[in-house]
Amino acid sequence: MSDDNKTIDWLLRCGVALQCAGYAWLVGVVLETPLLAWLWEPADVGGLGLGEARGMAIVRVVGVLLTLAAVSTIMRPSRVLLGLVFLFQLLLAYAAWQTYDGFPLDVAWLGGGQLRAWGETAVRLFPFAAGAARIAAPLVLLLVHWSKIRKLMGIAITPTVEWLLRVSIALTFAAHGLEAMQQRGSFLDMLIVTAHRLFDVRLEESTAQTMLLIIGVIDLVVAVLIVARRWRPVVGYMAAWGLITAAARFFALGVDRGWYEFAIRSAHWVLPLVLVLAWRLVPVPDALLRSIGSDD
Amino acid sequence: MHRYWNSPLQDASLRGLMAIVVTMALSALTSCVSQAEPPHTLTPRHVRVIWHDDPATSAIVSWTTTEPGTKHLVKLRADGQEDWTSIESDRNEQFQGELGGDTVPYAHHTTLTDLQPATEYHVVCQTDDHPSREFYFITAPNDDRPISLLFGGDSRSGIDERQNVNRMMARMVAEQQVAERPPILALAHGGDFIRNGTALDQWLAWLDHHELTTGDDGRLLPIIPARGNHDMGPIFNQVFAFPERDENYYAVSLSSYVRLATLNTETSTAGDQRDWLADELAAERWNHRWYIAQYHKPAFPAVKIPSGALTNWVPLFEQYQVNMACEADGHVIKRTPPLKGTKVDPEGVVYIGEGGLGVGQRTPKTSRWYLQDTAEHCGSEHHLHLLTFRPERFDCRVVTMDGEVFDEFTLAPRTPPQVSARTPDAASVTN
Repeated sequence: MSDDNKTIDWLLRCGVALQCAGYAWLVGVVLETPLLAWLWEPADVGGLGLGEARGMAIVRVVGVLLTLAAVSTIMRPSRVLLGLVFLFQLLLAYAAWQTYDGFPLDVAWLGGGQLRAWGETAVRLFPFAAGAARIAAPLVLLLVHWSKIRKLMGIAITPTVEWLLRVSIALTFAAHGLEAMQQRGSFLDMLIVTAHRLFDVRLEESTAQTMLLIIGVIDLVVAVLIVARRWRPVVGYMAAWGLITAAARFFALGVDRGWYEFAIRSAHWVLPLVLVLAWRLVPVPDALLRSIGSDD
Repeated sequence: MHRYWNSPLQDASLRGLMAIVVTMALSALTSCVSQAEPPHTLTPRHVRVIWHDDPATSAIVSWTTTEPGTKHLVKLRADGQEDWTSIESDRNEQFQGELGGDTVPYAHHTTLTDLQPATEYHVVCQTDDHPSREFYFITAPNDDRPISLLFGGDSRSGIDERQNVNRMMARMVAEQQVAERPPILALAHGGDFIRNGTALDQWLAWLDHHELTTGDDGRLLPIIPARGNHDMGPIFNQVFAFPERDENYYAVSLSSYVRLATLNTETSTAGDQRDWLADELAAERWNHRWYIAQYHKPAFPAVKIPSGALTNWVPLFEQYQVNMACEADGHVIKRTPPLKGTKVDPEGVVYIGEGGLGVGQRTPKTSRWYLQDTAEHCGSEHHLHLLTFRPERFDCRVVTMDGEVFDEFTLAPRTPPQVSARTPDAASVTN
């Protein structure tokens, strides 16, 4: 196996483990996530109506499972646990959808009528787009770690995995780009507070708004580019930006809260970094992949 | 616990008599309703008073019609006067949103200015030839008489409870008047009015239910709204007569010695809003004996995670010795001791909340450092806060839906910094 493919495997394992550890803390200790809200809130407001005590008991169990998944992913990856992590990430997005959690994108620019009604329905599915990289990360590790191709030929990234990476990263960047373009308040605060704490600069809100607009446009552009073509500088930028924005949580929120907010966003920089490494390798012809029996 | 509002029906014979009267009245009402025409599509409904600016001299009167109409006005007269003055509406617009093919109704807002403080104003809203019934509201005083304010949040779910709390508000307003207690001027709503801020049907239901806060005698309870995370989208600004892109942070003086800042946790808390708050506190804090703030997501949550208020506003609250911050979002009853610089400090700020106007209640996490000393004052019941301001003290009562007082405490006034340098004077909390 090439060094790069070993690196990809370990990069994914570390990234998913960090993501699991962050969510284990958030879900099992801090407790306050859309998942808990969905479990305890009554059905008329989108919840399951299980009550607070039962909801908390369930999320604590989820927290324990995520802790196990974090440890196992580093020590000895488990298909079952990684599958559960994937399902958890899907469920979290579903819960956010059901409980109206997350940034409410404005669709007023769609005008009135049916188009706007569709837009309002579509934006409620936004948690799936914003969380696409986090949802995909355990799935990518599942497909890479037990890949026959990887074991036989040291090829970690098959076409299916590559497209899963490209689309999930694109969705996450596009979703965050739209939020940035619509001036999400918490993003503005992160810019202002980080600038103040890191550089002792008091950023005017209008300046932060301009910066956020530019950031949003760049996010959208790179989201398109990553799908359109294999271009390592683009995924390199995405990896760097994903890391910077995740790390900014430390400065904006402090270490006690910042660490898990950073950890749960590992996929935002790990997945682009996987592509940076994968695209450094000589592409394997599809015919060769078929001849040895692809995992896809 | 003791009852906050008294029921006159404590005597058994009185109760029996009342039951007969109520039965007869209901049957008469039923027969009237069965024969009554449905209200005309231009008849004003959802009549409400909103306070954004100076409630001693101004108010916004708003209402809804199903059809657009052509002419919209408020007829106004001060109590004791015979002549009505007509004031045309200054904003009429169709609500944004869809109603599944039904006609989307219209919002009308009329700004009343040059009002007299502490004065009863009678209003009739009219679209074309269709008037509402006669309502009245009372402007805020501009002197140092005692006053009361209701605070609550989170009416987004628990529809029956929401209506019951609204009925209780109307009863409390009337009871204060009868008992000659300091009058309840308004409701400060800490946000999360409804579940989905882009759903017009939910806003219309909320507006229907808000009518229950109106007294039988037509007394309107003015509202001072804060935006919650569920109140996303443009309809909030239409319902509460804010300009289209308004960020919903503002301050009102409820008397010469009480000021309330309403903040918005759903936009940037660190940018212009923080600058505005710093300027507002520098200019107004020490012109008012009591300064309080309300906003949705807590700085010191009893259940959830701290909002940007903790980083960006709390240092200002502490610097200017704000008396109290009213928070929502957590769905519990909460009271902290005075907090300053991440510890309990008699010169600190008391944080109360966290929203009980309908939404299902949760269990407060009283193991958090800022709730350990006040754990017995935290709970899980639908409730609202009755804040009563007097020059010499500020009483806070938590009233649950059955009229019981769950918690009450008193704050003593603070001395402005330049005086406190000579005469140290810490704020104290008395249970």
